[in-house]
Amino acid sequence: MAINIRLLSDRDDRSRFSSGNVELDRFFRQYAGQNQFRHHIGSTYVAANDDSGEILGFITVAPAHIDELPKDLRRKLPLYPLPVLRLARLAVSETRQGQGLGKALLRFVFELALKLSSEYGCIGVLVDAKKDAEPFYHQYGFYRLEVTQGRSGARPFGTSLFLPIDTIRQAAKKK
Amino acid sequence: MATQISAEISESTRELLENFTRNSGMKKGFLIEQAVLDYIRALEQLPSDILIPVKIVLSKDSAARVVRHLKRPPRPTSRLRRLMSNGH
Repeated sequence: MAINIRLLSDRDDRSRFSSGNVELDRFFRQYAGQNQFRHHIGSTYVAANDDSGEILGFITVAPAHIDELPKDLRRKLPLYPLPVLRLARLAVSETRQGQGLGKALLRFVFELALKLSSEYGCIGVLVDAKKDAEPFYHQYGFYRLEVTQGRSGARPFGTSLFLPIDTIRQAAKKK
Repeated sequence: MATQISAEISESTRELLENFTRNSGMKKGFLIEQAVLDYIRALEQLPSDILIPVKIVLSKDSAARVVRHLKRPPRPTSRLRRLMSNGH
């Protein structure tokens, strides 16, 4: 079975997707479409079975920026905010959990961030991680950030984790 | 009838506003009013937990860590290397 990761389409059937997490499923079924097609405030990519079109997982990303750095830290940096790629949601269908699809989706996010970095600017990936997903991200080097403004409103509240783009770039370098 | 407001915003947002109005020829008041209306309309259509905040402000320690890593990024973990080399 070939799995393709691609942008969500308005023809995709989102109604049957079930990750087992009520909030993630509600977001995907009800709001991922309007976020993307009407309000343009985030993009959702889906991992779909090429043959049946069944959706097996998804990620939602949006550009964001780190702003209001303290003056003493700003000295050698430009005045404008630091752009990041925000991974707001990642979910895998119950039927495909534990089979590496989450990793494939995360790798896709890293590739997207590298592309953004070279084309528009991006200093890293910021994840709004649910508590039980934190260990998954820590193994790839993500570390906690204390966000004082701009925390994700997704419930239950999660933790903001960050991975610098140059760390991802080093890992992607062919030996 | 028009009325006046005053608000504290970050230096960078102010610079963005100044640059945009200068380059587009749009009046600041018009741009701000449109932005506020669009933002409130979007909020009315979407529950707040669905919105993905664009602006992130960090604590001083976290900001210092991010800035430090711009110059000296941490080395990738073996898991990250494996993921980026063979997908596993």
